[in-house]
Amino acid sequence: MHVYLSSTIKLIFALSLIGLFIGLFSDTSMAHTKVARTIPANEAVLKESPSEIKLIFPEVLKITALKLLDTQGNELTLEHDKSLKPIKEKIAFPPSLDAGTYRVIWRGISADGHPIKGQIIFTVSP
Amino acid sequence: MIENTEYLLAFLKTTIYGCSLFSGGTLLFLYIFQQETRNIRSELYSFITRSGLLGITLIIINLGTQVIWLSAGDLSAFYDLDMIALVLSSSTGYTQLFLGLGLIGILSTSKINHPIYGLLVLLLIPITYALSGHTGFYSPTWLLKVFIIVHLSIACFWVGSFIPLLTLINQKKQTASDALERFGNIAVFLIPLLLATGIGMAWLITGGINGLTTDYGLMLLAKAVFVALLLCFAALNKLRLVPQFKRGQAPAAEKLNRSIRTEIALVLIILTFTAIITTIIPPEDLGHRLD
Repeated sequence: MHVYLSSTIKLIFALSLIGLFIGLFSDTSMAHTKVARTIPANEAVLKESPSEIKLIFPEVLKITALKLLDTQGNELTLEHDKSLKPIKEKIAFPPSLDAGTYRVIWRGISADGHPIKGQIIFTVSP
Repeated sequence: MIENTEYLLAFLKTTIYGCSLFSGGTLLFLYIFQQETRNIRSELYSFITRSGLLGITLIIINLGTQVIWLSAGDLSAFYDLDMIALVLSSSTGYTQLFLGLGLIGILSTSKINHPIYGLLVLLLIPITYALSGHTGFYSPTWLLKVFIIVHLSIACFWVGSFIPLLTLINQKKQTASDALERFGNIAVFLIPLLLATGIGMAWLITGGINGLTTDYGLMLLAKAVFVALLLCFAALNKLRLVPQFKRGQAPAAEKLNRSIRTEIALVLIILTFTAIITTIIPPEDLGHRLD
């Protein structure tokens, strides 16, 4: 019985210490950053190749990767500023696109340090 | 579409969860069951060292995989110091670094053999997980943090019992039945708390019944099925196998051995579900809760 009580006290002590630390970290909250608007819009059907691709975010973030992929998943050239500076808007310039469906994917780090990802799909009609 | 890198990240996360819970939990068991484990201390410290080192190695691989993920599969990012610095300063980065520090601390307990130091080091494991994951997205955040830390501390204690109990049973140590009985007596109080905090987190994160029909909620339910199965084995041990083992019935040791091994397999499945939930399924899946 004595040994049992002793181990329980040790556990309570450990859990109390944990509780003490909770206060230090309880305000650490993270959120995923959603994209506010994109040009072209997700699932848009365009009559011609877009001259630019624009991503507008509700808050500042760092874009770490931005890629344009065709239906087969091949990466197409996408001209854009590749620096990791914080931005709210990202503009990229695609080549002239043939008719087909394309996917733009991005990765980044939000202002609070959380990894984020997103994608839009658009179609250039024949 | 789920990227291949995300599968790798989920796998790494599962194994890192496992290494941290097994190494930290076994250390906790050593402190709480000092008398019963005095003859197998060196074996348990050897296990703690191996699982801790594996965890640290996987953390380094995980950080590298994060670099690849953030660059959307661009391998040249490995040489990009800005990208590496960005990963290390991200929430994932500092969580992994914090966890790595915790594992180094656990490894050092074989040299610095003081329970207070050990308990402080052990605190790093649940706190690290409270810093990351989805508990920070929902309110009340402070309550979710309390839940996750208590939940993981108890899970750590439970998982940490597997290897020491298996070792005691397999080596036919005199202290095995004492350890099994005392562990069962403590678990009777802690398991309801483990379940209550798990259900509390699930409820707050999913927002109730509606959230359970999302991909996120369905994964949580699948995880709950395996938790229920794990509880069945725990109950079988406590109510049937341990009393049989105490009475010295011949097949009880073998049955207990198999039961604990099954529990280990179930824990690994549960950790896999947890890693998938926290890596592959984004909380946007529960968009109604984020708005």
